[in-house]
Amino acid sequence: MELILDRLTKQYKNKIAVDKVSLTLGQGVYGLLGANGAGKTTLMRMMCGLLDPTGGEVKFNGIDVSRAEYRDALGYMPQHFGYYPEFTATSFLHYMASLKGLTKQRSKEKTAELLETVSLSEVAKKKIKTFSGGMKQRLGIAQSLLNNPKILILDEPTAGLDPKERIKFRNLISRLGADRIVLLSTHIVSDIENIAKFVLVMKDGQIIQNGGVDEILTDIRGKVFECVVDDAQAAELSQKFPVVNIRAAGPSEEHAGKTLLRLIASDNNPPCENAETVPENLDDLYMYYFGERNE
Amino acid sequence: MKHDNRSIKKHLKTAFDPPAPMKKDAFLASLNYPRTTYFGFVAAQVRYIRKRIWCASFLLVGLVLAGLAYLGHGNFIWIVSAFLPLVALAGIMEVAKSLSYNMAELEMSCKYSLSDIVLARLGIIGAVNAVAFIVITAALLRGSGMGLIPLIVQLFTPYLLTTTLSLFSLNRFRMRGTLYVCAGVSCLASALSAGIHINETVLMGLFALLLLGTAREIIKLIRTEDGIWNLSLTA
Repeated sequence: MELILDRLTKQYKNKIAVDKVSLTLGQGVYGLLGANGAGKTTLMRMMCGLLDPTGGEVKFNGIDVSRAEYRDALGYMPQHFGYYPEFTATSFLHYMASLKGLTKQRSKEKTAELLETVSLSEVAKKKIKTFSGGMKQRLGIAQSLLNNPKILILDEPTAGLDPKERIKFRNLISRLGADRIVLLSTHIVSDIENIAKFVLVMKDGQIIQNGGVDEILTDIRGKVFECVVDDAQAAELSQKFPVVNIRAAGPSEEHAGKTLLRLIASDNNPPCENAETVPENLDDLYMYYFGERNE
Repeated sequence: MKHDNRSIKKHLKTAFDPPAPMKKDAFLASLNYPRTTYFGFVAAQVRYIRKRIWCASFLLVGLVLAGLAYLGHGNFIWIVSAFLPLVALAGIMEVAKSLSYNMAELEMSCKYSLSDIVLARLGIIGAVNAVAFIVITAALLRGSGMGLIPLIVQLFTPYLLTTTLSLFSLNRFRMRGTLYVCAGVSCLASALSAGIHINETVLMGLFALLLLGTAREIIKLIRTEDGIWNLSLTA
């Protein structure tokens, strides 16, 4: 099972949204990380055959993205999607199943199974327009799984889910990644940290990092510091370095009235006198690539 | 002997617990379930055509039959002709509903893509309209004193004006606002059919032109459906 992106490019007049992206994705969960406008959605849409690339190609096991066989192996959940007003959760899934080529019997079975999986069985007969944002999101996830896809592409799937739903969703994605290719984009770094086997970091239309979580974190190893400083110094440091966290230092007398900063230095030199290096995580990496200084 | 075997089998069943299934989910996931045919897909779409389409066709036939019964022929043909652009509008709204309800992106990612869906909707709505049109044409032809061709031309020119201009707009401007343009076009066609009397030869020429125009725009809609949605996704 192999999904190959070969020099995939999308250009709109003067702007290059995706710039010669080449990747080979195998079984497992891939997290796509990037700031708004980095090109994540454009890349995902090209991988689903919704946008024609300006250059390059996408193939799954040798099948081109433009073919029905490719779409037959695809499950996609867009960032924003609508529904026809008369649809209930069940009729929406039946409709999507008919477009995915499922037989009536199979559609009934899968609909019941997936509504159970995403905890919507009790509201199966209710109109979607009465659903909360989280419920609609779960329904979107359910429709993407109807055809038991080999490629699952999820654009911001956890947006609008409460923490309990997010954890449930993460567990579901982890299970699904065992025998298919799952690519998910999200701004919630902890989602990727918890479930993604590989992380792809996208910036200005290019994949600038690609590897396991530990592997890509080596870039910032020794560059993440925590220090306790007074307010004036905190303001000065946040102008010079991307700050990941800022909070009151603590109740002890020594730290009273001071601020604890977690920041990323561009090199391994401590940003101030009492700074200590701390173990890095994906939030730090995100700020390293996409953070801004408070200039 | 046979009885002994049965007895041993029976006792074996009670003596041992069957082993728990291993990798059952993975096995089930690997199975290729039967898929529907293209005809099955089209047939399934009938359920998702909104009731208003069926209602519009039934209403049209009902109105014509009731009108013929109570009003006679006289000026009745132009009333039917003025009503037909609204039937066309209902059909176009149905074909383009993916755009109205933001479903296009999801539908494009499915095995039967948006162009297949549009083709299926056009086929179903076209078939329903065709049946209704045959019934009303046959009903109006009897006793109207008009020939078949002039009657068809007079009845369906406003309908074709609506379909041609609406599909022309949809093919070029994929925005929700375009549907308001379609509504405006149908009202205009309806008003024109009621208020303007055109020379029969000119009307026949216009009819032929609009028939070709509708056919051209339908082909364009099906051929470029996915490509044009590409443009709308970049917004």
